[in-house]
Amino acid sequence: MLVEALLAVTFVAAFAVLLAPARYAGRLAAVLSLLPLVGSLYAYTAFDGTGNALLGGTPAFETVVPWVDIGGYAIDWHVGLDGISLPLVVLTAVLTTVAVVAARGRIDERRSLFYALLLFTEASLLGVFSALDFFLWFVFWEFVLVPMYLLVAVYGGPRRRYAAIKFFVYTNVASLVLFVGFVMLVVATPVESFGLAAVAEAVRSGAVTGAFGLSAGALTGVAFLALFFGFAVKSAFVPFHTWLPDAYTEAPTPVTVLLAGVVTKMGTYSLLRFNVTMFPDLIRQWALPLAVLAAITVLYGSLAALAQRDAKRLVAYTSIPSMGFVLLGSVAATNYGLAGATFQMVSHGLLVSVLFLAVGSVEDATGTRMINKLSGLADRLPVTAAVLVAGAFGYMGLPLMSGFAGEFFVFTGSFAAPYPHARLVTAVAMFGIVVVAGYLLRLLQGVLMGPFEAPTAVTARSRRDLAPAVVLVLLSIYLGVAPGALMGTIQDAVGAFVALIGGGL
Amino acid sequence: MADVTTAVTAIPLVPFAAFLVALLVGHYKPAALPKGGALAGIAATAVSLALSVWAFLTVGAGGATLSRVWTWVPAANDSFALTFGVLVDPLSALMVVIVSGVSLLVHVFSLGYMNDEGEGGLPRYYAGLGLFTASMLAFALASNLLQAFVFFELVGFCSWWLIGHWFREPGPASAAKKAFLVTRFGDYFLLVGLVGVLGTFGTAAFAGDASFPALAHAALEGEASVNTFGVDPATWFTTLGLLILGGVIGKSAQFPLQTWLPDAMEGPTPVSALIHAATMVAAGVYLVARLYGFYALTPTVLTVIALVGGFTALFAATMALVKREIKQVLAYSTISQYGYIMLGLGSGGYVAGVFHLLTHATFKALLFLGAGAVIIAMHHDEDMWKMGGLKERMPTVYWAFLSGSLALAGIVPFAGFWSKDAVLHHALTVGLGGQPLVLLAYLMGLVAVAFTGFYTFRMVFLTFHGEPRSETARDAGPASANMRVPVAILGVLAAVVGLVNVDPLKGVVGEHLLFLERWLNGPLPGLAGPTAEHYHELVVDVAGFHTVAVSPTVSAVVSLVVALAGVALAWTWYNVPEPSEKTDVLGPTKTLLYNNYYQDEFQTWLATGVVEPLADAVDVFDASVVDGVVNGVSSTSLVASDRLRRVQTGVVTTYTTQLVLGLVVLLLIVLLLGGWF
Repeated sequence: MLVEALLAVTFVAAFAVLLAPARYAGRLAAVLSLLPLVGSLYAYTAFDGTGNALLGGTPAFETVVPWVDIGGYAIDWHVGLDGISLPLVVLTAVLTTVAVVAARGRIDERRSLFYALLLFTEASLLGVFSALDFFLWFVFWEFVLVPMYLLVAVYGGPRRRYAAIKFFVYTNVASLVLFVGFVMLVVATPVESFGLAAVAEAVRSGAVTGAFGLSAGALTGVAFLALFFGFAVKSAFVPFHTWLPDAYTEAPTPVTVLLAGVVTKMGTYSLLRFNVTMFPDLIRQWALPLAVLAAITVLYGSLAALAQRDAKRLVAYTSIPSMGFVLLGSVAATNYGLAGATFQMVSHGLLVSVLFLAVGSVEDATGTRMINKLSGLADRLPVTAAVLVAGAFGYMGLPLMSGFAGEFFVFTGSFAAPYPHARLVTAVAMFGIVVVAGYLLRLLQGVLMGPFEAPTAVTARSRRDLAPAVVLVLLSIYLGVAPGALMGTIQDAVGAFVALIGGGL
Repeated sequence: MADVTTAVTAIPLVPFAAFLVALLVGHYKPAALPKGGALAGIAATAVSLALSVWAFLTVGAGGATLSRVWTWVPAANDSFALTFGVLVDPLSALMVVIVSGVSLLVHVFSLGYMNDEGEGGLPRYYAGLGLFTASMLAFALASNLLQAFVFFELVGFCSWWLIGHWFREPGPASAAKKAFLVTRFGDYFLLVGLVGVLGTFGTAAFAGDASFPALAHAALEGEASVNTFGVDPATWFTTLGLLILGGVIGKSAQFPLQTWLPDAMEGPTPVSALIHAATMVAAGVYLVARLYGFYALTPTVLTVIALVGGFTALFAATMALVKREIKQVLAYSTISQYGYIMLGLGSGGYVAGVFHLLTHATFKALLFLGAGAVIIAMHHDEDMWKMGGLKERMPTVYWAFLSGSLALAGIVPFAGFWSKDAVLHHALTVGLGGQPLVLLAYLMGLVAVAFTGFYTFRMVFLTFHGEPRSETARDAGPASANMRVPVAILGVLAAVVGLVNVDPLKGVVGEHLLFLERWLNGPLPGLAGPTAEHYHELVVDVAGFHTVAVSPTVSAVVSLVVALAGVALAWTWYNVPEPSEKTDVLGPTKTLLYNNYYQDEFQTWLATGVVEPLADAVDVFDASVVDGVVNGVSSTSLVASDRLRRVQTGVVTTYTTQLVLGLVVLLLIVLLLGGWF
């Protein structure tokens, strides 16, 4: 019942905040967001699941309630957590609290609605990561879109309309495609439910029959590609990424934290849940082209980031290579590859939020985020500078922070992957770590070092302003020193994939 | 040996505590931090030094150990665990003594160089030094390649931090970035090599029967099978060895990645002494020594190491010939001297390479600290042409600096003579033993000896001899005690430390006086592998490096004569009351040397002429083509674009209504079909 409690509390909190007077909304939201946070941390400590939820494992906090029946297909209320979803649930709760706290003083209109939408997003995200029935999952998946769209469209920067519509259209098309793809697959498979485990079992065991004028093989391939397309858009793999820089840049900082920190992870998480789990044969077959796509995503995204002059847009672009690394690990089908991909999702969520909070703090203090208009802020904004340095080096893969751990696991797993030319593709993608150092060091040099220069008087906000970012840095260091805190359960959950695809390492 | 492990683990942890103290107290209550954190750092490095010496003595008493300290990732799914540990053997025990010793002296020296000069940001400075010392010590004690990489990167971060200490000025800010970026380029190869090692052997451990060098040896002998991904094992190991070498070349500033080191001189001089001369730059060659059991299996890589080393020794020495700033001369000399260490290791001379690492750390830290004292006396003017006559004004520094210079030039009996000659002698015997490329590397190293003698004494004469050539030099006073004492201690060491291995006198005095060789030879009870004796067997049996007998005394006399020739030329040109540049004899080469062979220009061009236009092109492509397709598709296929715009321009409530309506309809369909109504 824990998952239900989490979802219910969060949804109720969202409505409570919506009804609260604007001047109390922020404080109320901060307090209420602690409930799912504590709940998720309790879930972490009380976690007793084993194995993979879709591959015969026992999820923790599982409940199955028959819900409706459509044309012979059972749709159940089926939720539960395993080693892959648990870290993302905790990440969601942590980053929502961070976003709520970070919004204080930054949002000054329609505050009740703003905070309510943040909490509504959290609830929907928790649903996505805990649903084990396709229909339930899809409802939550679409639920995320609504508040996210509004948060960008109403509270965003000057180009918010364009960015919001683009985000909405883009991800909605993706949702449609993946929905159709999955339903086709279910129709062609003799299952009687939308339960993810049941569908996965049926597809894996070769129970797919031809339908819609397609052979069984072609239909499986179409479904695989449709799902991949849907998740690729959400995760912003090149060339489906152009919604990302606009949305991240236009959204206000707290929203960007959720968008960059968690929403993109929906795509990569689902990629593991659907494409990797349900189609082991196709993953093996398609590993090379997908890994090449990952390498392109890394290098293309890094180069595009190198060309940015707006600090926030630069940080937005840095997300693209990181997601490329997740894809690289996911298709490697090895223990470290898959576990590393999951770990990297959490790590990226923490570090990208640190960077956005730091850049947001610079913008608040100076009124600009153009790198060439800023210089020498290191001693004017010492806390901001420290957070920016920590976030940037964490992002560059400084060891003993989580970013290094995640990328290192991915590289280790990917290098030894069973598909042809895995060594070469991995080595090429790894070159991203040099380019990322190039643009982040330039950002640090431009903003923090040199003679002092800023368009307006620099007014640092209170010291507490960056407290959430400092907490995230400490979390990142903790996970970098002790990645075993997550890797134990993650490895347990990916074990079944590894056995299935036979990757080793 | 649990107590050894605990004590050794404390060696890096104590300076780490000093780092935290300087950082946190410095931020929250700067007034409560005595000397800006210097005292905490001095206390911590003193404790580390004491523990390091104790560890050294323990190893001497047969207490070499290898133990696991921390499980980073537990093993699962038939995969391997990733762990951190400590490897205490002759090599690492020697290295921690060097690192903590130099760090202690540098901390003391900083009192004079930073505190007394009223520099700002002292807590930041001492925090950086503390973190650096901790990371460097942890690197030296690493029990596997992953752990080594972790701390290899952390020292790089500290280097960025400390080079950029004076961040207001454009020079340090840019140099910090360059240092990190160029070494990161090398580290990229090292990281590929590291994941390759893990993928191949399933372990990255340095020592023991299940270590990867041992497995590689067994695989070459056909006694073990490892996953070489379908490549012939010898070729694959060579590939891995070369990849790891990328990190070495970056960190130890070897050709072609040496360009960051001269720029790094923008950092405070004590930092240059500690990080960019004695220890961090040594991390690269230390890694080669640490992995010697692996490198000794691959003759191709050994040859590459020797060639890179010999070439760098000569190449960097030529650039040092014409430099005007005292720290620039020392920077190029550092690059050149690490070339010698590479030459020694690459030609199979493990003991010789480690020996030169030890002596160089001593005399180069000395020379940098001496230069630091001079720079303070000159009020941060580093131009040697404005110095002169400082001998009378700062005698202690002069005599110590002279000792270090004699060591650097390789004049008997100072430290560098013994170790550099051990390197050259070894390279010569292996080169003549059928390795023409090693012989070539030897010849380059030998020519560089003359250059070294010349540029070293050019520096000594211009700085200390003759008449003062500026007001500042005339008014220069003696260095303060906290700068004099570390310099004097190192001055004595630079004179005597070479006596630990009087290699050229091998035939004369007997083996028992070769303390370092016996120290590194082992045997180590309970720890197979990391001994010079074992490495030597591998170099001969597996790599096939055979030697011909050449009298070490003859080789020593040859290099001594060459060095003296260089010194003599410097004497005649620059040890005069009014020296002139004399660089015109070089003709057009002069410009080439002044501009460092235009390598910086080439690398700047790579960044601004190739990568940046490429990035801009990607950005334009992204905005026009990729995004253009998206915008095109969305405006034609969804709705006519103006109608879409009309929908978009509605107020918030419209959007909300649309979205919520859509979802409600979807849910209603589900529920209706499901028969709930």
